[in-house]
Amino acid sequence: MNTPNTSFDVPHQRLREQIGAYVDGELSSSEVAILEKHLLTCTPCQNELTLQESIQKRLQNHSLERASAGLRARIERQCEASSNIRHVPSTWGWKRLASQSGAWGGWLVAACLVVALLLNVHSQSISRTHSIPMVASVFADYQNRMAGGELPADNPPAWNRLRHSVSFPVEPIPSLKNQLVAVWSTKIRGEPAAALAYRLDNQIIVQYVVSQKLFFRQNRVRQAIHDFGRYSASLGHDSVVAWPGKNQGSVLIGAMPPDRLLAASLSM
Amino acid sequence: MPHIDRLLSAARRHLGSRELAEDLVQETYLKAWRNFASLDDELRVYPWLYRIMRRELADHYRSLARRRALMPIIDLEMVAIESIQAEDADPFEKTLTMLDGERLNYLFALMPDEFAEVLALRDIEGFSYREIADITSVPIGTVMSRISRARRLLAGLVLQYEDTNDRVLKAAATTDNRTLIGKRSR
Repeated sequence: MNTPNTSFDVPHQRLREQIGAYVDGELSSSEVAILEKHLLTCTPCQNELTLQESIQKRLQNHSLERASAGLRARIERQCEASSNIRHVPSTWGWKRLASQSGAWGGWLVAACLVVALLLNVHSQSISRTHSIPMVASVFADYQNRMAGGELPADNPPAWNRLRHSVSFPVEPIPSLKNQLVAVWSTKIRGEPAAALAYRLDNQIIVQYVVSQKLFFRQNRVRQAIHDFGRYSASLGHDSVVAWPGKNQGSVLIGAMPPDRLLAASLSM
Repeated sequence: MPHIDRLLSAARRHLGSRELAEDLVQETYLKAWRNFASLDDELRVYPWLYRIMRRELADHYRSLARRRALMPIIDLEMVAIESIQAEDADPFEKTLTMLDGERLNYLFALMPDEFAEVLALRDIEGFSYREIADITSVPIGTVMSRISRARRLLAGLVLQYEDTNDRVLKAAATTDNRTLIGKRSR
């Protein structure tokens, strides 16, 4: 057996303690170079490397416990019981978190169910809606734009700028694409957001696209999405509808009844 | 329900009992459901759930949780180091391969929490050192050293377990032989 090489600047003991991190790919390239050089001549460290690799390999193959259907059902029931608003039994809220791709694929199914719920949509009152920070912020931005009476001119550079101003994808509502009259970047709750204005039934309606993080931070919106697939509320003469997208969320606002806005949003 | 199997496995490693682990997972999901707003990055759901479970464990299961701080850690590390130096790596790898999940869980449960947890987070859960440091609130250098030592500890436990097992089997075989010889001689 070779004796530990003590001719390196870094002592043998310290190098040995780095072997676990070496196996895990957590060392810098310079640390790797020093350790590999040491490993060539140090038998105890070679043994340590074998030990670390063997344990790692075995644990990586360690099988998971499987949760029983009973446990899953129990958790579902308890979570539903803890919600204090009218509830349509659904597991979509959890499924959304299961994996980004899988869960958003499940949204397509949920969207179909929303059509059936169209006439039964959960619409909230003005006071409750104004207590939702994101919706209140959208409403303020919308009112400022409408009060000013002017919308930015729609042109390709503005559209390109808009897409670069946010870190998530921004696409117009497909069925309203031809009615797009303006786009601009703005801030909702202090975070970058995109605004897309459409002309619908001789009214201007505005779709605010916000980050998924901001969108799901709103408890009441989140609950409504879980229960109904969409959030819908009246704001006096105006209405608002919100729905999740891929890596973002949209809030559509306009001076028309919620069901009209809801219908417009359903092509997403 | 996302990550329930992973959480249940982690809970089982912490608590040993399947029933207690299920209760803990149930409490964790309920807490998560009520505190959904605290999820600040949806791509990192599991670490968020795991942190909730850790808090639950600390709050409600402290008295049940294992505390094995008095274990002769250094002795066990030495068992592993000396055994692997004394023989080829092959027998140790074979021993490891033959070790089933139940036994591995049992040995995990014998390790001190601070070592068992980081090792599971790294090798079973696949977290980076930085993520483990965030989850456990310990410096990254400590994570690195604990993982390295935890692997040696586990190796020591595996070898000790096998040794004990061998002796028990040999003793059982000897007893059987004696019984057999006794029966024959009658």
